[in-house]
Amino acid sequence: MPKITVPLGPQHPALKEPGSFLLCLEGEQIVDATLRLGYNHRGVEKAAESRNYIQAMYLIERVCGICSHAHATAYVMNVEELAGADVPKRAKAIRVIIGELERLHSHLLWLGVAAHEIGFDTLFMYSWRDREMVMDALETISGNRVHYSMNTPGGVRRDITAEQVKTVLAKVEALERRIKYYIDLATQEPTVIARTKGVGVLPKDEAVKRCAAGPLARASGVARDVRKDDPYLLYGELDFKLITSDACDVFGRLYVRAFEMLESCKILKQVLNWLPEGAISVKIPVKLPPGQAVNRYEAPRGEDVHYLKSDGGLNPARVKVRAPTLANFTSVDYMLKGDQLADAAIIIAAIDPCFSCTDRATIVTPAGTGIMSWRDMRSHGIEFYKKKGIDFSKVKVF
Amino acid sequence: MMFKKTKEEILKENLETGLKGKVTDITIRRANRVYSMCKGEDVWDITKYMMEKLGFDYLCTITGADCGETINILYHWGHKDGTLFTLEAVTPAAKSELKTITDLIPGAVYYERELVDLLGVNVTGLPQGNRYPLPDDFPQGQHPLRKSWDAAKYIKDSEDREAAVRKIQEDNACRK
Repeated sequence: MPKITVPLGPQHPALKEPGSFLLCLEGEQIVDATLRLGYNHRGVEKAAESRNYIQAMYLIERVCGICSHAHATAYVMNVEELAGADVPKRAKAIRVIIGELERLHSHLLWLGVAAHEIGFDTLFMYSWRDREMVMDALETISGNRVHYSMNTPGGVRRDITAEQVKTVLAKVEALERRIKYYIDLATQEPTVIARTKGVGVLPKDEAVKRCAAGPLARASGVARDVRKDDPYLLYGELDFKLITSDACDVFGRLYVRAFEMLESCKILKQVLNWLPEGAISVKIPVKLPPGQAVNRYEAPRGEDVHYLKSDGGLNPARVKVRAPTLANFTSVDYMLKGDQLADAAIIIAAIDPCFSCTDRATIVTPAGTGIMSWRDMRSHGIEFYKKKGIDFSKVKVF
Repeated sequence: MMFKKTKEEILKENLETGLKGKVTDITIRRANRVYSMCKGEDVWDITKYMMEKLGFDYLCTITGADCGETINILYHWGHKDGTLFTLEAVTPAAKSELKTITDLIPGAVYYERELVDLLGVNVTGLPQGNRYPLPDDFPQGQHPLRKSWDAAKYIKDSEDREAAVRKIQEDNACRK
């Protein structure tokens, strides 16, 4: 049978982020896959070198739309280590709360995407509806749905009130019931099992060789979780389980993420019920002493590695960010080989490649903040381009 | 009373005795954080020893840093016991060269390609494949993470190039 090569991406309806997968097919079977990444490279590391430590934090927070807290926390942990700051326990607890809510929101988002990729749109809509509970909880605490901006070098910027604790706890409890339902669904529903069992297999030795991280590694039986291995914040004192699976396929990744959500709820209940008292931040000097620090943070997709080097100046000398998706892409070509073309989308989606999510458009007007409707946005856009000499008002909208 | 050695101290001792001075300046900054230095040409041997004898199996990432006279390449290794070991290899900035470690640990491939693209490190023996992360038409010999790289010049050059292309397109449109 002649081999044909099919490009999947960089722009493709099945992928929500730009990445190019050149698939060599023999009939329906993938025999080879070549990856090309970097379409989203924005030079954040270089840009951070021309900003001071606080400005760089806001930049780093925008590396990812989903793990914004993960990146910012990993970065400020480095800054605090260099400054020799003793971060108050309450600040650490608030970071854990946001971090675990972020994990819940990311895993529920993934569950929806994965369900959509296997054609199970009911589950997609269910999980995204329930994700709104997490988004509301995050908004209650931070005022934002995506970029929470809770961190500051030395602690957090906002405290959590007793009332907020009550609201978030109620949401977490409601969510726990829903997650249990998803676990039943994901592990017993015949269509889910049929589309995920034996698909995108990554054996344990390959996962180790390819330095896989996060749920991808844990679903291949590699017990690797920074929260357990190299505890940061309060994770050393919390009671939670490390979820692994020996399934080594997409089903295993689904299983690991589903049960991890339950563990996140468990962590949240512990921290919210026993929130330490005290200050929420300490002062950090504008200039840091020369030195280097490297810290890891278990983001929803796996381990974030941040390296920070200071030469004693106002700006960092070098900031390095390694997001977990890069670690996991090395495994993708292996997983694709030998599988069916129809499964390519779910195999790629199963590592939960990171794409930005912006949920609604809010435009800050001089008078304050106003939420624009679809109609307002359209007329705003038309006016905006009219000033530039382009008239879109004649364009028909269907 | 004998004090029990910490895992970081044991690692330091193993590196000192096992590699006979190839790894220098081993410092334990805090629990789980060990930093060290080495020469660029020794990286492959040290990596092999660490993986075979010391149980390191997880390369977290590789960081390249332009330090003026030298380009330092930092290998961050994770151990099952939680230790994060950083091996800083020093190479001259004028001729920064390293041997690939992808034959020992295939997971290093994207990190090494990043060194090639962003810092202009010559990584020998790297498997064939697409470049990462810069675009295919990025000018040759330019490496953005070098401190000497001029972002303003790059932006001006690309704007000039775009303007030239636009002019040709407009001229062609007139001919129609």
